[in-house]
Amino acid sequence: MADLVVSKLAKEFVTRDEPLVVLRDISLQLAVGENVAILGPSGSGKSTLLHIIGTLDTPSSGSVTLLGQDPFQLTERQLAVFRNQHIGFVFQDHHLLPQLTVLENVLIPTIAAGNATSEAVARAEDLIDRVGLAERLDHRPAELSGGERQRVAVARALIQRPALLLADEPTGSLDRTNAQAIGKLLLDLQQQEKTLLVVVTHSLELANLMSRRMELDDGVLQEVD
Amino acid sequence: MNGWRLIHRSLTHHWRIHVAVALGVAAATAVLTGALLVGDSVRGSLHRLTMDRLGTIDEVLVTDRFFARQTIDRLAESSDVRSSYDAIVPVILFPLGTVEGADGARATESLVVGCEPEFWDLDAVGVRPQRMPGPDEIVINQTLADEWGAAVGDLVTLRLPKPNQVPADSPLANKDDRTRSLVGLKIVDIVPAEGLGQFSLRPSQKLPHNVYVALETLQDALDEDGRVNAALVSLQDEMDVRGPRALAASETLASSLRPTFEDFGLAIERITRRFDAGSGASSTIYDYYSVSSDRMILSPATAAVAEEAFRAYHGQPLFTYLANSITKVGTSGETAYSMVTAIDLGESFNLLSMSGEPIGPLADDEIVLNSWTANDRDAQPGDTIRLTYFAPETTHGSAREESAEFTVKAITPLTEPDRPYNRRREAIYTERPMLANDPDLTPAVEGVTDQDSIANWDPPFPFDYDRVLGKDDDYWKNYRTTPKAFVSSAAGRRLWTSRFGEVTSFRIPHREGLTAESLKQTFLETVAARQETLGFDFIPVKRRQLAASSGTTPFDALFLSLSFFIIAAALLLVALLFRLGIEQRATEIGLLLAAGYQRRRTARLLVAEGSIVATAGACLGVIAGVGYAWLMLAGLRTWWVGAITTPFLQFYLTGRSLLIGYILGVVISALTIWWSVRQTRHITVRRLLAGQASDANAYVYRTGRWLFWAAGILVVLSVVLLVVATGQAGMAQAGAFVGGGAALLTGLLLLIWARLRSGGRSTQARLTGRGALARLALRNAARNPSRSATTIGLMATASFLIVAMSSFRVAPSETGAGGFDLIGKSAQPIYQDLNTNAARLDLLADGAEALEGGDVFGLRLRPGDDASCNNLYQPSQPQVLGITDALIDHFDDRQVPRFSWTGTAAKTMAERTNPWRLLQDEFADGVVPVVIDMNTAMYSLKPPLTVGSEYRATYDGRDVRFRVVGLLENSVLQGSLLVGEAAFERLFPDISGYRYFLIRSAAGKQDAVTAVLEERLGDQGFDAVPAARVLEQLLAVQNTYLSTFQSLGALGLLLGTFGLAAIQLRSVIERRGELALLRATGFTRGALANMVLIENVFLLMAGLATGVVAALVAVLPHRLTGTAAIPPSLLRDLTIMLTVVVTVGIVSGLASVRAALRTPVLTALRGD
Repeated sequence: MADLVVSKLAKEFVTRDEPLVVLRDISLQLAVGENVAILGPSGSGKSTLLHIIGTLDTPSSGSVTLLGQDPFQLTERQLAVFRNQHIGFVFQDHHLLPQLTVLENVLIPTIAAGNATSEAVARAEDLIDRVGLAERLDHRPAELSGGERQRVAVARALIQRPALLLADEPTGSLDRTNAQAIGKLLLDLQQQEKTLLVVVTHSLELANLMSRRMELDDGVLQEVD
Repeated sequence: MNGWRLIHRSLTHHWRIHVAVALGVAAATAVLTGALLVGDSVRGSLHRLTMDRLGTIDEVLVTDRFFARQTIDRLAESSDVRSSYDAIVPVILFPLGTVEGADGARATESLVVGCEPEFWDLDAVGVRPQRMPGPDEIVINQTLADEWGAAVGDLVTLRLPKPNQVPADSPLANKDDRTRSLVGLKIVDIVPAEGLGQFSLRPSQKLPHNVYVALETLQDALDEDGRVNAALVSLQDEMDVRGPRALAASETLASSLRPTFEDFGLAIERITRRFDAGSGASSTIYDYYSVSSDRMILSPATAAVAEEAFRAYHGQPLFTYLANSITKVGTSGETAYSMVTAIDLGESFNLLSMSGEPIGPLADDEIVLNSWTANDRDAQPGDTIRLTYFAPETTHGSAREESAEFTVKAITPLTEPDRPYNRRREAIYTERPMLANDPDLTPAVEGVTDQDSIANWDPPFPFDYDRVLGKDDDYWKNYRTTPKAFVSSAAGRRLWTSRFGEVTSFRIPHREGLTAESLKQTFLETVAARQETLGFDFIPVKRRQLAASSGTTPFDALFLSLSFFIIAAALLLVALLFRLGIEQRATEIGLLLAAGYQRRRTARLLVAEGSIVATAGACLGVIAGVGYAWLMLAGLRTWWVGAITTPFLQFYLTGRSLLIGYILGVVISALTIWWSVRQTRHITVRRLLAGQASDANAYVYRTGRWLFWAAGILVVLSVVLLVVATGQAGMAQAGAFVGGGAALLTGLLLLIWARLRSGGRSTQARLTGRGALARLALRNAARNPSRSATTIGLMATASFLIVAMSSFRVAPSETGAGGFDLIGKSAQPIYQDLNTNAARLDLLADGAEALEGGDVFGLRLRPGDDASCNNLYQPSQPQVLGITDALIDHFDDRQVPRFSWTGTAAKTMAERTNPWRLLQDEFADGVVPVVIDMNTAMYSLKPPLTVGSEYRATYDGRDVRFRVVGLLENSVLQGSLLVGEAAFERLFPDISGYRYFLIRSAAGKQDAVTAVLEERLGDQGFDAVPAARVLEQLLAVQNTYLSTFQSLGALGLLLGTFGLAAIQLRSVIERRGELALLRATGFTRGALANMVLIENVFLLMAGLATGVVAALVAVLPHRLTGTAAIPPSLLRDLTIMLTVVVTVGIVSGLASVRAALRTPVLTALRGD
C-alpha cells in the first residue's frame, strides 16, 4: 500500500488565449522509506507538481492522497494543520527568519501546531545535532554559511516528523561540496526518520543519490533509469 | 520611450501607492496652508474689527479739557479740511465712565459717548439706535446689556469725572467732589455690539461697554454748555487711510485746527485800579492784563508759550501760593492763611518801601511784607520770617507742611480801604491804594477766594478755623486775596514748583494799543510758531489700530509650530509611503540599473515621479488647508477661546498664503521624496532584482554594549536633573523636569534599541509553551532594530512631548499675585491712602472694619493699551502703573509673600533682596527704569525685551525711553509697564490719585472687603476682583496654547500611527518569503494575522508607554510640589487621547495584517 498516491494529476493555467497545460495525467506512488528525484528542464512544471503534492497549490484535476487522506478535501484550517503534521519543506531559498536563532527557526512549525514544548526543543536540538550544527544553536542565520542555513531548513522540515519531505531545488544555491553534503544529509535523515522524500532538482548528481528518478517533460512524468 | 513616458506609465501603473503618497503630501500641505490661513484670519479679523468699530472715523481729537464746539465747526468749514474730509463730528467722550444698574450692577471703564444723531452717520455697517436718547435718556450697547440682563426701560446711573479741575494732587485741589452723577437715565434702546455699537479708541478685541447720551444732556450735567472735549474725523471715502494723501491730509487737519485762547483753559482780564483823589485827577495804581488758567496753575508747556508770547510786552510770570502761617522767628504768634506771591520786583512790578523807594530785586532768601503783615508780626527789615506752607504735591491726598525762612528786605505799604469788599463791589478807598493792594495777584480757588469771610471757607486742604482770628477776617474783608508777602520768582520755584507747573498767572502791563484780543492773538501765534498743540492732538486712531492689527503674535508661525507634529507625521508618512512604493518596485528599479541606467538617473526619474505626485497632492492639500484653518478657527472660538479672550475670529484667506502653502507643501514633500530615494542608493542591484529594497546589514546583530552605558548615563542624568528641579521654581523648574524626563526618555530608547540590536541571544526556551506566537511576534519586531527603534522613538517622543507639556501649565500662585488676594481698579482716582485708618474711616465709614488686618496699596495708573497676552493687537502705548514707595517698602519685609522674578538688574544686596528698589533708581540718560511681566516683555512688546533692554513708546506726544530692570514671572501685573511713582509723576504730571489697587484681605474677609470697597467707593467706580481669577485669565492664554499644542500633537500622533502602519506594511512586504514559509509549515491565516497585529501593537504600545512613562516622571514631581496647574481632567483627556491613538494605530495596522494574509505563498517562496 503506497503512502503517497498521485493519480491522474493535471494542472492548467488560464491565459489570454488557450489554457496553458503544465501537468498532464501525472500519477505517482511512493511508500514510506522511498525517495524519488524529479528532473526536468526549467518550466517543465517540476515545482508546480511539488507544490501541489505539498498542498501549497491545487490541481486542475486528479487527486493526491497522503497516508490515505485527500488533503484537498480539507478546509483551509484543516489543511494548514495537515501540512504542519505531515509535510516538511526544503526550498532552494532557505527562508530562515533572520531575527531568530537556529534553534528557534527549527522550532517554528511547532509554534504553528501549538506544541512548542520542551520535548520539541529536545527534538530540535537532536535534529540540529544530526545536521551537524550542535555548536550553532543560538546563532542567527546571518552568522551561518549558505550550506549551514540549508541544513537548518532541513532540520526545520523534519521537526514535526512529517510523513512526506519535499525538497525544491535544495542545492540550487549551493556550491558543489555543500550540495553533495545536503543531498546526502537529506537521504540519511529520510532513512532515519522513515519519511517519503520527493526532491525536485536540476542536479543529476543529487538525483543519482535517490532510489528513483523521474523526469517531467512537456507535462508528462516518466520514470528514468 | 523616453524618461517622461516612463514616468507617465509608472504613475498610472502604480496609482494606488501614488494616491496614498499624494494624500500624505496633502496632509502636510493642508497643515502648512491652514496655519498660514489662521494667521490671515487673525489679522483679517482684527482688521475687520477695527474697520467695524471705527466706522468711517479715521482720526480723533481727544483733549483733557472742554472747549467750544465752534472750534470744531470752524475746522469743518475750512476749505483745506473739506477737500480731504467728509465729516468732523464734535462729541463728548469719557472712556472711564461708570454705569450702575438699578440693582447695583456696575460697569466701570465704560466708554461714555455724548453725541448728536450725526455721530451714527459715521457708522459703516448700519448700526443706529431706533430711538435717539433725549434728556434723561440713554442708549447702551448689547455687551453691557448682556452683562446685566438690562432691558429697554430700565433706569441707570452714570458717573463721570468732573472736567477742567485743579489737579487733585495739588493740596489746593478739591479731592472729594470730583465726580458728577447722572441719576435715573432711562434706557431707550440697546444697540448691537457691532459697528459704532462697539466703538472704542483702544485696540483690543474685547467688546467694550458703551453708553450713548445726548450731547446736550452731558453738557448740561457738566455745566459745559456749548462745549465738547473731542471730535471724530472722517476722511473722504476714496482716500486710503494709510496712503500718502491721508498722511498729508492729517498734517493739514492738525495745522488747520485753531483752538481759541479760551479753549486752552486760559482767561485774560485787564486789571485796573485807579484812584480818584477827589480833585478830578484820576491816577492809575496798576493797569495790567492777567492771564490765568482755569486749573489755577498754568501747565509748564502753556507757561513756556505764554512766557515767549508775552516777553515783548514785559509779561511777568508770577506764582501766588498759600502760606499756612507767617511767623517772625524768635517770637510767638502767627499770621494764618496768607497769600504769598513769587514775582520778580523791577520796572514792571515796582513795589515801594515804606519810604517810597523802589525795593528792587529780591534775593532768594529775602521777603517783602506788606505793612499790615509787618504790623501784625511786628516785623522790621532784617528780621527773619518763617513761611509755613503745604508741599506743592500731595501723596495719597495728605497735605504735608513745609517751611522756609526769609529775611525781611523791606516793608511795602498797604492802604486800608474806607469800605471793605462785599459780594457786589470792590473795596472803596479814600486814600490812594498801593501797588500791593492787588487781590488779583491770587488765582481763583473754588470755595476760598469766592467767599466773603474766612469763616465761610470750604477749603480742600486741612484748615484750622481756630487759627483764624478777628484780625485775619478783617484783612479778608478789606483786602480779600491780596498777598501779604512777596518773594522772588526763584524762591517761589524752589518752594512751590510742582509737576503741575510754576506759574499761576502772567502779569502784562497795559500800554497804549495793547488789548486783550491782541495778547490772545499773540499767544495763539506763538503756539502756532512753536508748533505746540497744548493737548489738542489728533490721534490717527484708525491708522494706529490697523497697524496694531498686525497683532502681537504671528499666529501663522504659532500654528505652524503648534502643528509641528502633524507636519512631521505627514512628511514621515510621505517618506514611508514613497519608500513603500520603491520597495514594491525594487525589481523594476533593479532592472533599470541592470539595463544600464545610472543610479543618479534612476533616482531622478523616481524623484520626478514623486514630485509630480507631490504637486498634485499639494493642490488637494491647499483645499484641505482651508478646512484645517476653519477647524482651527472653530477651535479658537470654542475650546481654545482662552487663547484669544473673545470668540471674534472669522475666516479670511489670501492668495499669498494659499500660494506659499502650496509651494512649501510641494517643496518639502519633494525633498522628503528625494531623501527617501536617496536611502536606497546603497542597495545592490542584485538585492533589488531579488525584490529587496533594504540594506542587508539591517539584519546583522550587535551587542552594542556602549549603548547600555550611554543609556545608564542618561538615566543618571535624568535623576540629577529631576532632583535639581525640585529646588527651582516656575519655568526653570518645568524646564528641568522636562529636561530630566527627556534624558530618561532618550535613555529608555537607547535601552530598547540596544535590546533590539542584541536580538535577545539567550532566548532558547522563549519560543516554547503558551504565548509562543506572541513571543515570535515580538522577536519579529527586533528583525530590523533601527527601524523598530525609530518607530518606537517617534511615537515615544510625540507622546512624551504631549504629556510633558502638562508640566508647563501654570497655576495662579501666591507669588503671581505678590501675596495679594484682590485686585482693585477704580474708574475715578482715589486720593487717600487706604492703608491709613483715617482714610478708611473717611472713605469707608463703618465699613473700615472689614479692612482690619489687611493692606491696600494704591498704584498710579496711566491708561493705555492692554499689553497682556489677552490682547491680540500690538500695543503701542502700554498701560503704565506707578509703584509707590510704600509698596516697595512693603517688600523689604522678608516675611511677606512677594512676586517671583525671572530676572533683575539688581547689583546691591538691598536690590537683590527687594528688586522693586530698582524702580527708585534714576539713570543719568533720563531713561526710566521699568519692571515688566516676562510674558508681556517676551510676547506682547516688540522687539522682545530682556533685562537691560530699552523700550520706547510715545505718551501724550512725548517719546519715553524705558529700561527693563526686572522681569516678573507669571504675575497679575502682566500687561503694564511698572515704573516708580516719582518717574510716573514726571512722565504724567496731569494724572493725580490712584486707580489700581493691590489688596490683601485678612483671612476669610475677602468677600467682606470686596463688598465694602465696591459699595462705599461706588462713586469712584471701584471694582475688586480676586487676584487668582485675574491671574487665571492671564495664564489661560499660555495654558490654552499648551492645550492646543497637545491637541494638535495628538492629531500628529494619530497621523503618525498611519506611518507606523506603513512601516509595518513595508516590513510585511519585505518578509513575504518568510511569511509564505510560515504558511507552508502550517501557520493558519489567523495565526499569521495575530502575529503581525501583535507586532504592530507592540511597537505602538512600546512607543507610547516609553514616552508616557518618561513624561510622567517629568510631570509627577511638578504636580507633587503643586506648582503645575495640572487640571483633574488632564488624566482623563490624556487617557482618551492615547486610547484613540492606540485604537487608530491598531485599525491602521490591519492594513499590514491584510497584506500578510494576501501574501502569495508560491510566488514568495520562489522569490519571484
